[in-house]
Amino acid sequence: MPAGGVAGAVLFGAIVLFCFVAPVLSPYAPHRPDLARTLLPVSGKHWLGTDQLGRDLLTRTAEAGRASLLLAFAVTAVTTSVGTVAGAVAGLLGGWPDRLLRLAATVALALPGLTLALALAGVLPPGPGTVLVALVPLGWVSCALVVRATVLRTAASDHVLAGRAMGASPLHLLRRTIAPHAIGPALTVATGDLAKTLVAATSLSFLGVGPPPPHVDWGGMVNEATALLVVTPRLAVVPAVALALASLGVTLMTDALRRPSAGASCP
Amino acid sequence: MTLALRRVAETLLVLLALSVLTFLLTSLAPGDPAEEILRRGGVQPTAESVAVLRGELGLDRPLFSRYLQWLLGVLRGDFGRSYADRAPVAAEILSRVPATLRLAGTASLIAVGLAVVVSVRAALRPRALDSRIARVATVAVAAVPPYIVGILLISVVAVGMRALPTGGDGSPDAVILPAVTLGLAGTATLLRLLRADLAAVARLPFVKLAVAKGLSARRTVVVHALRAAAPGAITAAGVVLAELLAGAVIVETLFAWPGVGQLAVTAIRQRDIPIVQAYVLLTALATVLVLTLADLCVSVADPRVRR
Repeated sequence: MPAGGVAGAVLFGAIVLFCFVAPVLSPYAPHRPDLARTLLPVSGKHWLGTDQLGRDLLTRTAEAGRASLLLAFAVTAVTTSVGTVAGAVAGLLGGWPDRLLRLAATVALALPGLTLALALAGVLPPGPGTVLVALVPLGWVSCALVVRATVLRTAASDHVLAGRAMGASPLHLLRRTIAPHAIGPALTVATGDLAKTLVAATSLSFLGVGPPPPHVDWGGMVNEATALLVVTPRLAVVPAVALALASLGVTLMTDALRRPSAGASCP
Repeated sequence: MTLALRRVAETLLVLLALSVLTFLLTSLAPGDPAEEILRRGGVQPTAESVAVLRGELGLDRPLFSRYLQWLLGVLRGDFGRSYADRAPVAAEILSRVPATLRLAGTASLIAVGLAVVVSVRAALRPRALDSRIARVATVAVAAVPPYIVGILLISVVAVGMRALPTGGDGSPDAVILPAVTLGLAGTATLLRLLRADLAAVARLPFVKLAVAKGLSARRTVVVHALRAAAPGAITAAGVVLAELLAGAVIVETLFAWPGVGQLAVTAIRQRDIPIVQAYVLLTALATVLVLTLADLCVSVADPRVRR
Protein backbone atom coordinates (compact mmCIF):
# COMPACT_ATOMS: atom_id res chain seq x y z
CA MET A 1 0.00 0.00 0.00
CA PRO A 2 1.38 3.46 -0.91
CA ALA A 3 2.53 5.87 1.80
CA GLY A 4 -0.44 8.18 1.24
CA GLY A 5 -2.86 5.36 1.97
CA VAL A 6 -1.06 4.43 5.20
CA ALA A 7 -1.00 8.08 6.29
CA GLY A 8 -4.72 8.37 5.52
CA ALA A 9 -5.55 5.22 7.48
CA VAL A 10 -3.51 6.40 10.49
CA LEU A 11 -5.10 9.88 10.34
CA PHE A 12 -8.64 8.51 10.09
CA GLY A 13 -7.96 5.88 12.77
CA ALA A 14 -6.68 8.54 15.14
CA ILE A 15 -9.79 10.67 14.61
CA VAL A 16 -12.15 7.72 15.09
CA LEU A 17 -10.30 6.82 18.29
CA PHE A 18 -10.49 10.43 19.53
CA CYS A 19 -14.21 10.71 18.78
CA PHE A 20 -15.17 7.48 20.52
CA VAL A 21 -12.77 7.66 23.49
CA ALA A 22 -12.61 11.37 24.38
CA PRO A 23 -16.31 11.73 25.41
CA VAL A 24 -15.82 8.80 27.85
CA LEU A 25 -12.60 10.16 29.40
CA SER A 26 -13.63 13.81 29.51
CA PRO A 27 -14.92 15.16 32.84
CA TYR A 28 -17.36 17.43 30.97
CA ALA A 29 -20.81 16.65 29.57
CA PRO A 30 -20.99 17.50 25.84
CA HIS A 31 -24.57 18.83 25.95
CA ARG A 32 -25.05 20.44 29.39
CA PRO A 33 -24.73 24.26 29.28
CA ASP A 34 -22.75 26.02 32.04
CA LEU A 35 -23.55 29.69 31.76
CA ALA A 36 -20.97 30.64 34.39
CA ARG A 37 -18.17 29.52 32.07
CA THR A 38 -19.09 30.82 28.60
CA LEU A 39 -16.44 31.51 25.96
CA LEU A 40 -13.47 30.67 28.21
CA PRO A 41 -10.10 30.80 26.43
CA VAL A 42 -7.77 27.85 26.01
CA SER A 43 -6.50 26.70 29.42
CA GLY A 44 -5.24 23.66 31.37
CA LYS A 45 -8.81 22.86 32.44
CA HIS A 46 -10.44 23.41 29.04
CA TRP A 47 -7.83 22.43 26.47
CA LEU A 48 -9.68 24.15 23.62
CA GLY A 49 -11.76 26.55 25.73
CA THR A 50 -15.55 26.61 26.02
CA ASP A 51 -18.33 27.69 23.66
CA GLN A 52 -21.05 30.34 23.97
CA LEU A 53 -23.04 28.11 26.36
CA GLY A 54 -20.05 27.13 28.49
CA ARG A 55 -19.62 23.63 27.04
CA ASP A 56 -16.10 22.21 26.73
CA LEU A 57 -15.13 22.56 23.05
CA LEU A 58 -12.86 19.51 22.93
CA THR A 59 -15.49 17.20 24.46
CA ARG A 60 -18.18 18.60 22.20
CA THR A 61 -16.06 18.24 19.07
CA ALA A 62 -15.44 14.56 19.92
CA GLU A 63 -19.13 13.92 20.65
CA ALA A 64 -20.13 15.67 17.41
CA GLY A 65 -17.55 13.60 15.53
CA ARG A 66 -18.95 10.40 17.01
CA ALA A 67 -22.43 11.30 15.75
CA SER A 68 -21.13 12.39 12.32
CA LEU A 69 -19.08 9.23 11.86
CA LEU A 70 -21.83 6.86 13.05
CA LEU A 71 -24.34 8.43 10.67
CA ALA A 72 -21.84 8.34 7.80
CA PHE A 73 -21.07 4.67 8.49
CA ALA A 74 -24.79 3.85 8.61
CA VAL A 75 -25.61 5.65 5.35
CA THR A 76 -22.60 4.11 3.58
CA ALA A 77 -23.53 0.62 4.79
CA VAL A 78 -27.03 1.02 3.33
CA THR A 79 -25.92 2.61 0.02
CA THR A 80 -23.19 -0.03 -0.48
CA SER A 81 -25.54 -2.96 0.24
CA VAL A 82 -28.31 -1.59 -1.96
CA GLY A 83 -25.82 -0.61 -4.67
CA THR A 84 -24.07 -3.99 -4.68
CA VAL A 85 -27.33 -5.94 -4.95
CA ALA A 86 -28.78 -3.59 -7.58
CA GLY A 87 -25.55 -3.58 -9.61
CA ALA A 88 -25.24 -7.37 -9.50
CA VAL A 89 -28.89 -7.86 -10.52
CA ALA A 90 -28.63 -5.32 -13.34
CA GLY A 91 -25.35 -6.78 -14.58
CA LEU A 92 -26.49 -10.40 -14.47
CA LEU A 93 -30.06 -10.08 -15.73
CA GLY A 94 -29.78 -7.17 -18.15
CA GLY A 95 -33.18 -6.20 -19.58
CA TRP A 96 -35.45 -3.89 -17.61
CA PRO A 97 -33.50 -3.99 -14.31
CA ASP A 98 -30.50 -2.74 -16.27
CA ARG A 99 -32.53 -0.02 -17.98
CA LEU A 100 -33.93 1.05 -14.59
CA LEU A 101 -30.42 1.37 -13.19
CA ARG A 102 -29.33 3.49 -16.14
CA LEU A 103 -32.37 5.74 -15.67
CA ALA A 104 -31.45 6.14 -11.98
CA ALA A 105 -27.90 7.02 -13.01
CA THR A 106 -29.16 9.68 -15.45
CA VAL A 107 -31.43 11.17 -12.77
CA ALA A 108 -28.53 11.17 -10.29
CA LEU A 109 -26.42 13.05 -12.83
CA ALA A 110 -29.19 15.63 -13.29
CA LEU A 111 -29.49 16.28 -9.54
CA PRO A 112 -25.94 17.14 -8.55
CA GLY A 113 -24.68 17.54 -5.01
CA LEU A 114 -27.18 18.00 -2.28
CA THR A 115 -30.20 19.11 -4.35
CA LEU A 116 -32.50 16.13 -3.71
CA ALA A 117 -31.10 15.42 -0.22
CA LEU A 118 -31.79 19.03 0.78
CA ALA A 119 -35.35 18.90 -0.51
CA LEU A 120 -36.09 15.58 1.21
CA ALA A 121 -34.45 16.65 4.47
CA GLY A 122 -36.41 19.89 4.36
CA VAL A 123 -39.78 18.26 3.71
CA LEU A 124 -39.59 15.27 6.09
CA PRO A 125 -39.62 15.71 9.90
CA PRO A 126 -36.02 16.38 11.07
CA GLY A 127 -33.97 13.56 12.60
CA PRO A 128 -31.09 11.14 11.93
CA GLY A 129 -33.50 8.81 10.08
CA THR A 130 -34.42 11.62 7.70
CA VAL A 131 -30.75 12.21 6.85
CA LEU A 132 -30.52 8.51 5.99
CA VAL A 133 -33.65 8.70 3.83
CA ALA A 134 -32.34 11.89 2.18
CA LEU A 135 -28.91 10.53 1.26
CA VAL A 136 -29.75 6.96 0.20
CA PRO A 137 -32.02 7.60 -2.86
CA LEU A 138 -29.12 8.72 -5.06
CA GLY A 139 -26.20 7.53 -2.91
CA TRP A 140 -26.41 3.90 -4.02
CA VAL A 141 -26.11 4.69 -7.74
CA SER A 142 -22.31 5.07 -7.98
CA CYS A 143 -21.71 1.76 -6.20
CA ALA A 144 -24.31 0.01 -8.36
CA LEU A 145 -22.67 1.27 -11.56
CA VAL A 146 -19.22 0.04 -10.52
CA VAL A 147 -20.53 -3.38 -9.42
CA ARG A 148 -22.54 -3.67 -12.64
CA ALA A 149 -19.46 -2.92 -14.75
CA THR A 150 -17.38 -5.47 -12.84
CA VAL A 151 -20.08 -8.13 -13.07
CA LEU A 152 -20.44 -7.57 -16.82
CA ARG A 153 -16.69 -7.76 -17.32
CA THR A 154 -16.26 -10.84 -15.14
CA ALA A 155 -19.28 -12.67 -16.57
CA ALA A 156 -17.64 -12.50 -20.02
CA SER A 157 -14.34 -13.95 -18.81
CA ASP A 158 -13.07 -17.46 -19.46
CA HIS A 159 -13.19 -18.84 -15.94
CA VAL A 160 -16.93 -18.09 -15.72
CA LEU A 161 -17.43 -19.77 -19.09
CA ALA A 162 -15.47 -22.77 -17.80
CA GLY A 163 -17.67 -22.90 -14.69
CA ARG A 164 -20.76 -22.74 -16.85
CA ALA A 165 -19.42 -25.50 -19.13
CA MET A 166 -18.97 -27.69 -16.06
CA GLY A 167 -22.66 -27.20 -15.30
CA ALA A 168 -22.48 -24.83 -12.35
CA SER A 169 -25.79 -23.22 -11.34
CA PRO A 170 -26.16 -19.43 -11.82
CA LEU A 171 -26.15 -18.92 -8.04
CA HIS A 172 -22.94 -20.92 -7.69
CA LEU A 173 -21.35 -18.95 -10.52
CA LEU A 174 -22.32 -15.69 -8.83
CA ARG A 175 -21.01 -16.76 -5.44
CA ARG A 176 -17.81 -18.53 -6.40
CA THR A 177 -16.66 -16.97 -9.67
CA ILE A 178 -18.13 -13.48 -9.95
CA ALA A 179 -18.53 -12.11 -6.41
CA PRO A 180 -14.82 -12.41 -5.45
CA HIS A 181 -13.99 -10.05 -8.34
CA ALA A 182 -16.71 -7.55 -7.46
CA ILE A 183 -15.89 -7.21 -3.76
CA GLY A 184 -12.68 -5.21 -4.23
CA PRO A 185 -14.23 -2.50 -6.45
CA ALA A 186 -17.34 -2.37 -4.22
CA LEU A 187 -15.21 -1.78 -1.11
CA THR A 188 -13.20 0.89 -2.93
CA VAL A 189 -16.42 2.71 -3.84
CA ALA A 190 -17.66 2.26 -0.27
CA THR A 191 -14.55 3.99 1.07
CA GLY A 192 -15.04 6.85 -1.35
CA ASP A 193 -18.72 7.03 -0.42
CA LEU A 194 -17.82 7.25 3.27
CA ALA A 195 -15.99 10.53 2.67
CA LYS A 196 -18.79 11.83 0.44
CA THR A 197 -21.47 10.86 2.97
CA LEU A 198 -19.56 12.39 5.87
CA VAL A 199 -19.39 15.66 3.94
CA ALA A 200 -23.00 15.51 2.74
CA ALA A 201 -24.53 14.66 6.13
CA THR A 202 -22.60 17.40 7.93
CA SER A 203 -23.47 19.82 5.12
CA LEU A 204 -27.17 19.20 5.80
CA SER A 205 -26.59 20.02 9.48
CA PHE A 206 -24.60 23.08 8.52
CA LEU A 207 -27.56 24.27 6.44
CA GLY A 208 -29.85 23.73 9.43
CA VAL A 209 -31.86 20.76 8.14
CA GLY A 210 -29.97 18.04 10.02
CA PRO A 211 -31.16 16.25 13.16
CA PRO A 212 -32.41 18.72 15.83
CA PRO A 213 -30.57 19.24 19.19
CA PRO A 214 -29.37 17.64 21.41
CA HIS A 215 -27.97 15.69 18.45
CA VAL A 216 -24.84 17.51 17.37
CA ASP A 217 -22.41 16.89 14.54
CA TRP A 218 -19.52 18.81 13.02
CA GLY A 219 -21.70 20.62 10.51
CA GLY A 220 -24.14 21.66 13.24
CA MET A 221 -21.27 22.96 15.39
CA VAL A 222 -19.94 25.06 12.52
CA ASN A 223 -23.47 26.36 11.90
CA GLU A 224 -23.89 27.38 15.56
CA ALA A 225 -20.50 29.07 15.51
CA THR A 226 -20.91 31.15 12.32
CA ALA A 227 -22.73 33.90 14.25
CA LEU A 228 -19.66 34.27 16.48
CA LEU A 229 -17.12 33.85 13.70
CA VAL A 230 -15.81 37.40 14.02
CA VAL A 231 -15.43 37.26 17.82
CA THR A 232 -14.23 33.68 18.42
CA PRO A 233 -13.33 31.92 15.16
CA ARG A 234 -11.99 29.03 17.30
CA LEU A 235 -15.54 27.68 17.80
CA ALA A 236 -15.99 27.16 14.05
CA VAL A 237 -12.41 26.34 13.14
CA VAL A 238 -11.99 23.41 15.59
CA PRO A 239 -14.89 21.27 14.28
CA ALA A 240 -14.09 22.42 10.73
CA VAL A 241 -10.51 21.17 11.00
CA ALA A 242 -11.67 17.90 12.62
CA LEU A 243 -14.05 17.25 9.72
CA ALA A 244 -11.41 18.28 7.17
CA LEU A 245 -8.86 15.86 8.67
CA ALA A 246 -11.35 12.97 8.84
CA SER A 247 -12.41 13.52 5.23
CA LEU A 248 -8.79 13.89 4.13
CA GLY A 249 -7.88 10.60 5.83
CA VAL A 250 -10.65 8.69 4.06
CA THR A 251 -9.86 10.35 0.72
CA LEU A 252 -6.18 9.37 0.96
CA MET A 253 -7.23 5.77 1.67
CA THR A 254 -9.60 5.81 -1.32
CA ASP A 255 -6.90 7.18 -3.62
CA ALA A 256 -4.53 4.40 -2.52
CA LEU A 257 -7.20 1.72 -3.08
CA ARG A 258 -8.02 3.10 -6.54
CA ARG A 259 -4.49 2.56 -7.83
CA PRO A 260 -4.38 -0.47 -10.12
CA SER A 261 -1.46 -1.91 -8.11
CA ALA A 262 -3.69 -2.18 -5.03
CA GLY A 263 -5.49 -5.09 -6.72
CA ALA A 264 -8.92 -3.48 -6.74
CA SER A 265 -9.26 -1.89 -10.14
CA CYS A 266 -11.96 0.73 -10.27
CA PRO A 267 -13.21 2.74 -13.25
CA MET B 1 -29.20 12.53 -36.24
CA THR B 2 -31.03 9.56 -34.72
CA LEU B 3 -28.50 9.70 -31.88
CA ALA B 4 -29.38 13.33 -31.21
CA LEU B 5 -33.11 12.51 -31.33
CA ARG B 6 -32.63 9.65 -28.88
CA ARG B 7 -30.65 11.94 -26.64
CA VAL B 8 -33.45 14.51 -26.65
CA ALA B 9 -36.09 11.84 -25.98
CA GLU B 10 -34.04 10.46 -23.09
CA THR B 11 -33.58 13.93 -21.62
CA LEU B 12 -37.32 14.58 -21.82
CA LEU B 13 -38.02 11.26 -20.09
CA VAL B 14 -35.60 12.12 -17.28
CA LEU B 15 -37.15 15.57 -16.87
CA LEU B 16 -40.61 13.98 -16.74
CA ALA B 17 -39.44 11.49 -14.08
CA LEU B 18 -37.94 14.41 -12.14
CA SER B 19 -41.18 16.37 -12.35
CA VAL B 20 -43.10 13.43 -10.82
CA LEU B 21 -40.46 13.11 -8.09
CA THR B 22 -40.61 16.82 -7.36
CA PHE B 23 -44.39 16.89 -7.29
CA LEU B 24 -44.50 13.98 -4.86
CA LEU B 25 -42.42 16.05 -2.39
CA THR B 26 -45.68 17.83 -1.43
CA SER B 27 -47.39 14.63 -0.44
CA LEU B 28 -44.36 13.53 1.60
CA ALA B 29 -44.61 16.61 3.78
CA PRO B 30 -46.47 16.05 7.02
CA GLY B 31 -49.52 18.26 7.58
CA ASP B 32 -51.98 19.88 5.23
CA PRO B 33 -50.75 22.74 3.00
CA ALA B 34 -54.01 24.67 3.41
CA GLU B 35 -53.75 24.58 7.22
CA GLU B 36 -50.11 25.56 6.92
CA ILE B 37 -50.88 28.63 4.77
CA LEU B 38 -53.64 29.80 7.10
CA ARG B 39 -51.45 29.41 10.16
CA ARG B 40 -48.65 31.39 8.49
CA GLY B 41 -51.13 34.13 7.62
CA GLY B 42 -51.78 34.41 11.36
CA VAL B 43 -55.25 32.84 11.17
CA GLN B 44 -56.32 29.98 13.45
CA PRO B 45 -57.45 27.37 10.88
CA THR B 46 -61.05 26.18 11.26
CA ALA B 47 -62.52 23.19 9.45
CA GLU B 48 -64.53 25.60 7.31
CA SER B 49 -61.72 27.95 6.25
CA VAL B 50 -59.44 24.99 5.56
CA ALA B 51 -62.08 23.41 3.32
CA VAL B 52 -62.52 26.67 1.39
CA LEU B 53 -58.78 27.11 0.84
CA ARG B 54 -58.37 23.45 -0.11
CA GLY B 55 -61.00 24.01 -2.80
CA GLU B 56 -59.21 27.16 -4.00
CA LEU B 57 -55.84 25.35 -4.18
CA GLY B 58 -57.44 22.33 -5.84
CA LEU B 59 -56.29 20.06 -3.00
CA ASP B 60 -59.67 18.28 -2.92
CA ARG B 61 -59.05 16.77 -6.34
CA PRO B 62 -57.22 13.47 -6.96
CA LEU B 63 -53.40 13.39 -6.97
CA PHE B 64 -53.02 12.75 -10.69
CA SER B 65 -55.18 15.66 -11.82
CA ARG B 66 -53.35 17.90 -9.37
CA TYR B 67 -50.05 16.76 -10.91
CA LEU B 68 -51.29 17.52 -14.41
CA GLN B 69 -52.46 20.97 -13.37
CA TRP B 70 -49.14 21.66 -11.64
CA LEU B 71 -47.15 20.40 -14.65
CA LEU B 72 -49.17 22.56 -17.07
CA GLY B 73 -48.49 25.53 -14.81
CA VAL B 74 -44.77 24.74 -14.68
CA LEU B 75 -44.61 24.50 -18.47
CA ARG B 76 -46.05 28.02 -18.61
CA GLY B 77 -43.49 29.17 -16.05
CA ASP B 78 -45.96 29.22 -13.15
CA PHE B 79 -44.58 27.44 -10.09
CA GLY B 80 -47.44 28.45 -7.79
CA ARG B 81 -47.27 30.78 -4.83
CA SER B 82 -44.99 30.76 -1.80
CA TYR B 83 -46.59 29.54 1.45
CA ALA B 84 -44.86 32.30 3.39
CA ASP B 85 -46.01 35.48 1.60
CA ARG B 86 -48.23 34.14 -1.22
CA ALA B 87 -45.91 35.79 -3.77
CA PRO B 88 -45.42 34.04 -7.15
CA VAL B 89 -42.50 31.61 -6.82
CA ALA B 90 -41.24 32.09 -10.38
CA ALA B 91 -40.71 35.85 -9.96
CA GLU B 92 -39.01 35.35 -6.60
CA ILE B 93 -36.55 32.83 -8.02
CA LEU B 94 -35.94 34.85 -11.18
CA SER B 95 -34.94 37.89 -9.10
CA ARG B 96 -32.25 35.78 -7.41
CA VAL B 97 -30.79 34.23 -10.60
CA PRO B 98 -28.37 37.07 -11.54
CA ALA B 99 -26.58 36.90 -8.18
CA THR B 100 -26.12 33.12 -8.43
CA LEU B 101 -24.93 33.38 -12.05
CA ARG B 102 -22.41 36.06 -11.06
CA LEU B 103 -21.09 33.85 -8.25
CA ALA B 104 -21.02 30.60 -10.25
CA GLY B 105 -19.57 32.39 -13.31
CA THR B 106 -16.71 33.94 -11.35
CA ALA B 107 -16.13 30.63 -9.58
CA SER B 108 -15.94 28.65 -12.82
CA LEU B 109 -13.52 31.20 -14.31
CA ILE B 110 -11.32 30.66 -11.23
CA ALA B 111 -11.70 26.87 -11.47
CA VAL B 112 -10.92 26.61 -15.19
CA GLY B 113 -8.10 29.17 -15.07
CA LEU B 114 -6.41 27.59 -12.08
CA ALA B 115 -6.81 24.06 -13.45
CA VAL B 116 -5.32 24.95 -16.86
CA VAL B 117 -2.37 26.91 -15.44
CA VAL B 118 -1.48 24.31 -12.81
CA SER B 119 -1.87 21.31 -15.15
CA VAL B 120 0.26 22.90 -17.88
CA ARG B 121 2.92 23.70 -15.31
CA ALA B 122 2.73 20.09 -14.05
CA ALA B 123 3.09 18.76 -17.61
CA LEU B 124 6.12 20.98 -18.26
CA ARG B 125 7.86 20.34 -14.95
CA PRO B 126 6.35 17.36 -13.15
CA ARG B 127 9.18 17.17 -10.63
CA ALA B 128 9.36 20.87 -9.73
CA LEU B 129 8.56 21.79 -6.14
CA ASP B 130 5.44 23.79 -7.04
CA SER B 131 4.02 20.89 -9.07
CA ARG B 132 4.46 18.58 -6.08
CA ILE B 133 2.87 21.07 -3.72
CA ALA B 134 -0.02 21.47 -6.17
CA ARG B 135 -0.50 17.69 -6.23
CA VAL B 136 -0.80 17.52 -2.42
CA ALA B 137 -3.01 20.61 -2.35
CA THR B 138 -5.37 19.07 -4.92
CA VAL B 139 -5.96 16.04 -2.72
CA ALA B 140 -6.58 18.28 0.29
CA VAL B 141 -8.99 20.59 -1.55
CA ALA B 142 -10.88 17.63 -3.05
CA ALA B 143 -11.37 16.14 0.42
CA VAL B 144 -12.39 19.25 2.32
CA PRO B 145 -16.00 20.42 1.77
CA PRO B 146 -16.57 24.01 0.54
CA TYR B 147 -18.16 25.26 3.75
CA ILE B 148 -15.05 24.28 5.70
CA VAL B 149 -12.79 26.00 3.14
CA GLY B 150 -15.11 29.02 3.39
CA ILE B 151 -14.98 29.12 7.20
CA LEU B 152 -11.19 28.95 7.12
CA LEU B 153 -11.00 31.68 4.43
CA ILE B 154 -13.36 33.93 6.39
CA SER B 155 -11.46 33.51 9.65
CA VAL B 156 -8.07 34.15 8.03
CA VAL B 157 -8.74 36.67 5.25
CA ALA B 158 -11.87 38.51 6.43
CA VAL B 159 -11.55 38.36 10.23
CA GLY B 160 -7.79 38.00 10.70
CA MET B 161 -6.45 40.25 7.94
CA ARG B 162 -9.61 42.36 7.50
CA ALA B 163 -8.80 42.32 3.77
CA LEU B 164 -12.25 41.47 2.40
CA PRO B 165 -15.86 41.55 3.64
CA THR B 166 -17.14 38.44 5.48
CA GLY B 167 -20.26 38.23 3.37
CA GLY B 168 -23.21 39.93 1.72
CA ASP B 169 -23.30 41.68 -1.61
CA GLY B 170 -22.51 45.21 -0.44
CA SER B 171 -19.31 46.01 -2.36
CA PRO B 172 -17.75 44.87 -5.65
CA ASP B 173 -15.03 42.88 -3.85
CA ALA B 174 -17.62 40.91 -1.85
CA VAL B 175 -17.79 38.30 -4.61
CA ILE B 176 -14.11 37.34 -4.22
CA LEU B 177 -14.20 35.12 -1.12
CA PRO B 178 -17.36 33.17 -2.01
CA ALA B 179 -16.18 32.73 -5.61
CA VAL B 180 -12.77 31.47 -4.49
CA THR B 181 -14.44 29.06 -2.03
CA LEU B 182 -16.75 27.73 -4.71
CA GLY B 183 -14.08 27.79 -7.42
CA LEU B 184 -11.59 25.75 -5.39
CA ALA B 185 -14.19 23.00 -5.06
CA GLY B 186 -14.40 22.78 -8.87
CA THR B 187 -10.65 23.16 -9.44
CA ALA B 188 -9.80 19.85 -7.76
CA THR B 189 -12.10 17.76 -10.00
CA LEU B 190 -11.04 19.54 -13.17
CA LEU B 191 -7.35 19.55 -12.34
CA ARG B 192 -7.14 15.81 -11.66
CA LEU B 193 -8.75 15.06 -14.99
CA LEU B 194 -6.79 17.57 -17.03
CA ARG B 195 -3.49 16.39 -15.53
CA ALA B 196 -4.24 12.76 -16.37
CA ASP B 197 -5.39 13.70 -19.90
CA LEU B 198 -2.29 15.79 -20.58
CA ALA B 199 -0.09 12.95 -19.39
CA ALA B 200 -1.93 10.54 -21.71
CA VAL B 201 -1.72 12.92 -24.68
CA ALA B 202 2.01 13.47 -24.06
CA ARG B 203 2.61 9.82 -24.95
CA LEU B 204 0.94 10.16 -28.39
CA PRO B 205 3.13 10.19 -31.54
CA PHE B 206 2.14 13.70 -32.68
CA VAL B 207 3.61 15.18 -29.50
CA LYS B 208 6.87 13.35 -30.18
CA LEU B 209 6.79 14.76 -33.72
CA ALA B 210 6.28 18.29 -32.40
CA VAL B 211 9.26 17.87 -30.09
CA ALA B 212 11.33 16.27 -32.88
CA LYS B 213 10.72 19.17 -35.27
CA GLY B 214 12.19 21.46 -32.64
CA LEU B 215 9.19 23.13 -30.98
CA SER B 216 9.77 24.38 -27.47
CA ALA B 217 8.29 22.34 -24.63
CA ARG B 218 5.98 25.21 -23.70
CA ARG B 219 4.63 25.53 -27.24
CA THR B 220 4.18 21.78 -27.54
CA VAL B 221 2.12 21.59 -24.36
CA VAL B 222 0.12 24.81 -24.71
CA VAL B 223 -0.65 24.66 -28.45
CA HIS B 224 -0.71 20.93 -29.26
CA ALA B 225 -1.24 18.79 -26.17
CA LEU B 226 -3.72 21.11 -24.43
CA ARG B 227 -5.88 21.22 -27.55
CA ALA B 228 -5.95 17.45 -27.81
CA ALA B 229 -6.91 17.18 -24.15
CA ALA B 230 -9.69 19.78 -24.53
CA PRO B 231 -12.68 17.47 -25.29
CA GLY B 232 -12.34 15.60 -21.99
CA ALA B 233 -11.78 18.86 -20.18
CA ILE B 234 -14.92 20.43 -21.69
CA THR B 235 -17.06 17.51 -20.55
CA ALA B 236 -15.53 17.77 -17.10
CA ALA B 237 -16.04 21.53 -17.09
CA GLY B 238 -19.74 20.93 -17.79
CA VAL B 239 -20.02 18.56 -14.85
CA VAL B 240 -18.07 21.00 -12.68
CA LEU B 241 -20.27 23.96 -13.67
CA ALA B 242 -23.35 21.88 -12.80
CA GLU B 243 -21.77 21.01 -9.46
CA LEU B 244 -20.97 24.66 -8.84
CA LEU B 245 -24.57 25.71 -9.53
CA ALA B 246 -25.73 23.10 -7.01
CA GLY B 247 -22.88 23.76 -4.57
CA ALA B 248 -23.77 27.45 -4.54
CA VAL B 249 -26.41 26.57 -1.92
CA ILE B 250 -23.80 26.11 0.77
CA VAL B 251 -21.50 28.95 -0.21
CA GLU B 252 -24.40 31.40 -0.55
CA THR B 253 -25.65 30.46 2.92
CA LEU B 254 -22.22 30.83 4.48
CA PHE B 255 -21.48 34.20 2.85
CA ALA B 256 -25.06 35.57 3.00
CA TRP B 257 -24.96 35.90 -0.81
CA PRO B 258 -28.46 36.83 -2.07
CA GLY B 259 -28.76 34.07 -4.70
CA VAL B 260 -31.15 31.23 -5.52
CA GLY B 261 -29.40 28.87 -3.10
CA GLN B 262 -29.95 31.16 -0.15
CA LEU B 263 -33.63 31.50 -1.10
CA ALA B 264 -33.90 27.69 -1.31
CA VAL B 265 -32.29 27.12 2.08
CA THR B 266 -34.56 29.68 3.72
CA ALA B 267 -37.55 28.01 2.05
CA ILE B 268 -36.39 24.56 3.14
CA ARG B 269 -35.96 25.67 6.75
CA GLN B 270 -39.49 27.14 6.66
CA ARG B 271 -40.90 24.14 4.75
CA ASP B 272 -42.09 26.45 1.98
CA ILE B 273 -42.69 23.56 -0.41
CA PRO B 274 -43.58 25.39 -3.69
CA ILE B 275 -40.18 27.15 -3.60
CA VAL B 276 -38.40 23.87 -2.79
CA GLN B 277 -40.15 22.19 -5.74
CA ALA B 278 -39.20 24.97 -8.12
CA TYR B 279 -35.61 24.92 -6.85
CA VAL B 280 -35.18 21.16 -7.38
CA LEU B 281 -36.78 21.19 -10.83
CA LEU B 282 -34.90 24.27 -12.06
CA THR B 283 -31.57 22.96 -10.75
CA ALA B 284 -32.16 19.72 -12.64
CA LEU B 285 -33.14 21.65 -15.77
CA ALA B 286 -30.04 23.87 -15.55
CA THR B 287 -27.85 20.80 -15.03
CA VAL B 288 -29.30 18.96 -18.01
CA LEU B 289 -28.88 22.09 -20.17
CA VAL B 290 -25.27 22.61 -19.09
CA LEU B 291 -24.35 18.96 -19.69
CA THR B 292 -26.01 18.94 -23.13
CA LEU B 293 -24.25 22.19 -24.01
CA ALA B 294 -20.92 20.68 -22.96
CA ASP B 295 -21.62 17.69 -25.23
CA LEU B 296 -22.34 20.05 -28.13
CA CYS B 297 -19.09 21.94 -27.46
CA VAL B 298 -17.18 18.66 -27.48
CA SER B 299 -18.60 17.70 -30.86
CA VAL B 300 -17.53 21.10 -32.22
CA ALA B 301 -14.04 20.88 -30.69
CA ASP B 302 -13.41 17.23 -31.49
CA PRO B 303 -14.14 16.03 -35.04
CA ARG B 304 -13.72 12.38 -33.94
CA VAL B 305 -17.00 12.52 -31.97
CA ARG B 306 -19.05 13.68 -34.98
CA ARG B 307 -18.14 10.69 -37.11
